[in-house]
Amino acid sequence: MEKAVVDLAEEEASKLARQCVELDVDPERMVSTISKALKVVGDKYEHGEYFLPELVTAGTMMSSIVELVKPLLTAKGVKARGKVVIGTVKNDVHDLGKTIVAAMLISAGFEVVDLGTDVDPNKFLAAAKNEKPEIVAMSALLSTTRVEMKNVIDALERSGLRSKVKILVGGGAVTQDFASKIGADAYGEDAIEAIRICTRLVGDKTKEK
Amino acid sequence: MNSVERVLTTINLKEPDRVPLDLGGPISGITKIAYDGLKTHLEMRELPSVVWDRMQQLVEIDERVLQRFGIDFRHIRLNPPRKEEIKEVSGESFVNEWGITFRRSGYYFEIVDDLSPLYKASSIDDVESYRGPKPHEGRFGGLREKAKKLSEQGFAVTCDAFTGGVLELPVWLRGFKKFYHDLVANPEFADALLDRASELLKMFWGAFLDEVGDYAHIVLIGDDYGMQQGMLISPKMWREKVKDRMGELFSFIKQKGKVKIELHSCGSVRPIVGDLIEIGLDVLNPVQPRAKDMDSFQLKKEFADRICFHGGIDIQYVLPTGSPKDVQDEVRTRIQAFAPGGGYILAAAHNIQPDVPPTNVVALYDAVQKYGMYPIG
Repeated sequence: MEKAVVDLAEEEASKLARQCVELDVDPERMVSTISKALKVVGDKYEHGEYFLPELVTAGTMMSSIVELVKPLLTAKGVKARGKVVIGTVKNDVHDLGKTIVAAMLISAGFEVVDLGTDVDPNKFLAAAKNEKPEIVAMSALLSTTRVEMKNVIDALERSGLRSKVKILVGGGAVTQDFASKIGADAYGEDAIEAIRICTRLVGDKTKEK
Repeated sequence: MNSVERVLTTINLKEPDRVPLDLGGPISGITKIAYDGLKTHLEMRELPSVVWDRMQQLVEIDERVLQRFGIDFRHIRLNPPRKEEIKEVSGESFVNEWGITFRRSGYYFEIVDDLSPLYKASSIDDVESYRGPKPHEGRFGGLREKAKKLSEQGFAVTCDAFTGGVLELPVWLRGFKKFYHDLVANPEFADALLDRASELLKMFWGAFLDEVGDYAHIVLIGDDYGMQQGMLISPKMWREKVKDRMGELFSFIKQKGKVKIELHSCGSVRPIVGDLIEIGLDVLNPVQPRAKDMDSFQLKKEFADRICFHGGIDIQYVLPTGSPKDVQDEVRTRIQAFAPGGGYILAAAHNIQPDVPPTNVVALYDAVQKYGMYPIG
């Protein structure tokens, strides 16, 4: 299955995933296989072998396999690696990057609450309160909307939730400089780096506890 | 030198008297909020602000403003479609003549991916039966006279893009994620849609140039291939799927009129600049300075004797957040990189956005008097 995902052989991967379910293969083993495939796809993206069409296709394939496996994991009582609330900031509807990051996070074993695009700071705040995620991840493509990231951070600060979550930011209009300036915990240059950072941030959160 | 001589000299990679300036059109225009601020700053508040591009909120720029900055280009574009070709869903949403749905998102209108006209298409027949709008005469009325007049006044006349290019139009018709998925998982379907889009583009450009080809100097096509960190699709896929189709469109256009071709393609496109030159591209915009591998000095070093660059002034940070002095420094840097030997047209690397202060717009164009006179110091 790992090879089928990496080779973007959609039908083959979905056939194998269904067979695994029928044969009662351990769902955690399936997730770890998808995670391995994700790593290879990520490496290929970073090395300029894969681009957005390949990433979109791999993301679609992995999401559908994860959908298949999810009920089995729940039944077995397996816990996610961490919870991420993710969304594109207010007045910005660009969702491609954010959606790829969300799909990849799910494939990597995270629980993801996707708030969609054009997300009001209050909605981020409510999700941080109600979902109790380890990470709040925000995306912005536009120079005119990236200021909203600061508004979300300020809102979290005011409500006393800032110390309870790690903030990850990314998207076309964002740089490491900007991320540091607004007080985010991390900046992800692309989807693959975002996964790596989320894994690290969840580790940091666990240590803090 | 008048404007058109200045522009054509630089496109032909020779040094004009000064670096030519562009402002206007769909990718080097100005948004309404920025324009209103600029008018006030220039004490020209009485000028009208008419939005002609709802998606990007771009306005018509008055002749007096263009003259104030010494802009060398004048842009002509298709007249708006008939009222019945546009479907107003609400004040916040509309469907354009291509069947593409736009919804207001903050300041702009954005394409709604899953309402794209071919989002639910499942066969090549579905693609081939997509009709698209017609290039009817209402779209061209008065354009020939306008182009003739501007050309006779000595301006460089650019025919503006009216939709996406060979790759981008399919993305808009099918939806971004669906079409990118098609490119990998359903290549025959993707080919059919790329072909259909190419046919429609030729039909429109043919009719447009039949009207204005005698008086136009530049044709501007927009087709995004890059993002901040790299290309959207692999150079290999671009060469397989886009290069020949784009090359055919360039040749078709050049047969229709004695025009130079300018391509707008955002982001990091370095790996295919040589290919674009090979298929007949004359001017590359916007050479986005912060995108990966798009260093202005390197680009000039590699392609100086083969292509003219257009744009280059950083709109991601310097124009919205810098001081007028920072903007002047930015202009000087780009001129030093691109202008020696000719082959540079100065403009912001995209439309001037609401967050760009008017003092920075003035600094941008006025800096050319200081740094953009040949010989470049």
